[in-house]
Amino acid sequence: MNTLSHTALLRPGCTFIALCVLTLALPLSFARADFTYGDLSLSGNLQTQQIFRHPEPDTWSIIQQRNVLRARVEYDWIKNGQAFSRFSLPGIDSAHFVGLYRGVYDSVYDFQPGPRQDVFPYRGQAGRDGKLSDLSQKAAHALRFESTFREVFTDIEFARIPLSVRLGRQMVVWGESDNLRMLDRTNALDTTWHGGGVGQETWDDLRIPYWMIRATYSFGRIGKLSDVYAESYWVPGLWVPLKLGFSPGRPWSSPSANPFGGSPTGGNFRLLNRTVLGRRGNYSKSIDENSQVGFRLGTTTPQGVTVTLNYLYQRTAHDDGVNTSSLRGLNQCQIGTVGCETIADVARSNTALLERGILPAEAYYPYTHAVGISASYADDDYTEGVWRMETIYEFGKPFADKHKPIMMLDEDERPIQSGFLGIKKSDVWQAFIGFDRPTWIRALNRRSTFFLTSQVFWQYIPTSTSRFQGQISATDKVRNWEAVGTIAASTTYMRGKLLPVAFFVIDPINHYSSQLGWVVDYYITPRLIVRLAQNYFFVPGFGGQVDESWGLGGLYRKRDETVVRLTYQF
Amino acid sequence: MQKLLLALTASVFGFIGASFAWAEMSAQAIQAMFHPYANGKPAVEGLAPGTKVEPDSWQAAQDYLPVEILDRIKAGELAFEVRETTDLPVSDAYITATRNHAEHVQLGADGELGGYVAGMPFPILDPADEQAGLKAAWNYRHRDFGTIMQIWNTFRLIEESGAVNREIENYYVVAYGMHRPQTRDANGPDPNIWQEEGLLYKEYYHITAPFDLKNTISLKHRHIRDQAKDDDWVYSPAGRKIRKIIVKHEDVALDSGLLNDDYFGFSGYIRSYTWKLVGIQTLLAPVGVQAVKTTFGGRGGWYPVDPWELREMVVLEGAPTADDHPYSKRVLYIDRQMFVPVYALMYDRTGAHAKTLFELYGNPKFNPGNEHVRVPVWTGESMIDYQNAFGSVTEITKMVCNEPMPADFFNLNKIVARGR
Repeated sequence: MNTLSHTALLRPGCTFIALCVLTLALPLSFARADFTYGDLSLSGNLQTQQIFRHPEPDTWSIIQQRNVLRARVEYDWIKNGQAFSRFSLPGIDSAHFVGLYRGVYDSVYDFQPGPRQDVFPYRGQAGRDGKLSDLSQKAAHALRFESTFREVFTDIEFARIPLSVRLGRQMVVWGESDNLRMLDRTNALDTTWHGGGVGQETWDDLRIPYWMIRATYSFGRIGKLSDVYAESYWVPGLWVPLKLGFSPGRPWSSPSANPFGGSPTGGNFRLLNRTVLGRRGNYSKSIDENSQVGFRLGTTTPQGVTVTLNYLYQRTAHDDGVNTSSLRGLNQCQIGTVGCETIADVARSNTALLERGILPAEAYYPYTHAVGISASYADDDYTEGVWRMETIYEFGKPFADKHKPIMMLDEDERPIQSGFLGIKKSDVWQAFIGFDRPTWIRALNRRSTFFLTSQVFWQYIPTSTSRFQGQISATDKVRNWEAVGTIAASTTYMRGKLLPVAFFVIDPINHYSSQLGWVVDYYITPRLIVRLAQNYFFVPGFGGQVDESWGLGGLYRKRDETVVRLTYQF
Repeated sequence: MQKLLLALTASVFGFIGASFAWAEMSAQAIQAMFHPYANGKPAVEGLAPGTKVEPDSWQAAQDYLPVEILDRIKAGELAFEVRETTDLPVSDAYITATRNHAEHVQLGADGELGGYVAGMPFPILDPADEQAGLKAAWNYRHRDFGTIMQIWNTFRLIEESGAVNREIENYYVVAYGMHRPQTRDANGPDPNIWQEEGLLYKEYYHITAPFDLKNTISLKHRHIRDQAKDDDWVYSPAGRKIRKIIVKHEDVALDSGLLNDDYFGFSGYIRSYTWKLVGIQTLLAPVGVQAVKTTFGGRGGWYPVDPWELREMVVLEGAPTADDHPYSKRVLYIDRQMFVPVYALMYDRTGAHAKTLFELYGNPKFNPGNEHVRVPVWTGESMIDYQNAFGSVTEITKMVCNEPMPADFFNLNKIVARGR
């Protein structure tokens, strides 16, 4: 019996290393850019990424040294109604399997460098948190590896009806916007991959894939409308909300320590009803209690406008930038019930709970209905650009309500507010208009155009928001109107070898809180790519605390980063 | 009454007479256009099959090559052997459609075609005709490219040293849905499937490798009216969305040597150029490759080095109407029999020769699965950018002609699903 047990081989780290070895061995026997053998193909990349944090120009520290293997396996297992070239499957024309593996080893947890990381609000004692070396060996080991088949699905095309079905772990992406999550909300985000890395990390890595069923029916041409289709998905129970990472274990994720259990530097509290922030609310992960559905109709009009009408019914993931509350404060007794006559009684019951290490609040992910429209139109004649829009109206999103404080007793047994709040629901309207244009700037590039893309996004809460409390801090206001603008430019130099992208994001409502970033990819060879990228977060002309929920200069101030990445693709 | 009868009789006979005249003329023109080698293949002293055209033996070829290409041979960048001319007729359906319909085709005041049904619009090209260039451009637009062409290929950006900057494997489909020369079978599907939308063809481009670009897909709708602008979309796997885009024809993709209107020699709008028919000449050209793919060699590995043939070529010059176009003109050397450009010379705004594009077509007999196909069988492409000393080379892996595809293949939602 080999001393290396099967169990050990299945451990994430071992699987990752084994796949790395396999990947390095493969090029010896294949000559193509990817590896194709008949109906089977394998492709992927090996990537190492270093992130340096530099809150000040002269203060640099390494916070990430992530090594990633991505491997993609594809297989046409039904072709022309024949499965595996042997079995006849009447009614099915073709089926295609896709498996996308991601294995991660972050060596920063091995040498656990300092210094302490700045966290929101970036001043005073609260502005500093732990460092990576504060992590115990056990905690570091838990964060060091990831090994998962992120997507595993099969596409099935039916023979006699224009229906295709995708079954398995997958992502659904709807809408027209870039980096603004309105209709693109089926898959919640995993901020443990990166909290403020928009522009340098792909959404593919940031979204959490779910097991689901998706079906698309093509109607073809109906009257003057072309490409008419209906699409629907169902996540049968295994949905999870926005996944949060905290400092110091994930210094690139949320700019705060975990205030609840499981944090080496935070408190050690649990939430009510066995709920876990960023993982699960008060429901079981069953079809009955945790299904999500979406439906959309799409078409192209004779004028060339591409339109979709969308409906979604799903739990609030709290990852769309709206200042909703993922914690619902719950008093442990209601005034007027037996033994609960006064505010002091309410506070006492909550305090008793706290003394047991349980907070008088639960992680809260309620269902909402949402309807939306997306559209795009290419205006060749006047603006020579493409206009995009997307809007969504959500019914009943949860906001922390200052009129519903959760009380506790102070040292003198007097009722005081605990900081937790109950919930009041409100509708939210979000929309954006975007404009893309290939533009000649020959002074900067005489051979290729610059692709310029800009977006204006706004949000409106049609309720008096003065009673709402934002989630960033105790001073965080929830406003009726919010707005964000983005602009990005990209081009190509050096005969395809150098691909720069620059982008700028600004929030005019919150002191012009901003993010400026750039990414440059240089192809040393077609397979070997080096990336240099930087993100700067700032609030021009304002040195105070800025409470904003978009992840710009207010929330991520002092989180300026430089990224160096090397990728080998196969 | 008598006058009326006389007038009617005269007009009827006049019409019949004109028709006879046109029929006689068109028969000759069609024969010359589609069967230029029926009465014998070109023979030139010093360029017999097997002759090598090399830096030290180019003299016999000097009147049979554009000076811009001859200079490259003299400089030692390119050498090839001469092969006997191959007869490569297009499909009978296309030739028949030309015979049946060309008589009624006219150019409108806006430069659009009128009365066009199928086949070659203008088989009679007279260099003395002021509109001959424009007519030739329309002939090229409506060349016989089959109904559906599927191509698997690898595109490379290659430095002079031979170092490859970028390498992209892709699957390309072009499908025509209007003005098909094939007649509809009694119970068969109508080949003019996009008549209602007014779409001449749809182009689909799907990157299959490398990993960072895998499943990037673009879709183009080319309208039958040249005045109408293309509709373009791109699916990005990074965003997992399909997006409408504007494609500037004078722009390049990936900083390659190919402008967006360079593909296949010319793929822009006819209206964006002023066209001039230079003439019809016998020239050497890399046509009739006897393999699935062209062999590239010479400087940088940019040149087609399979044997070249003496071909009847239509020389067509196009000058962009826009002042800011990178080219002052492009000269297309179009194989008369297939009516596809086999090389094209591009000149910069100063008038200097800047690039040479080779579009390579093979002999179907040597292309497994396409042995009986009678449309131009694409075997490769190379754009040589002399001013920047690099090449953009497309190597064909496989081609499938006229195999039916699902009706919804080009639907946007299908592309998203395929994008994965």
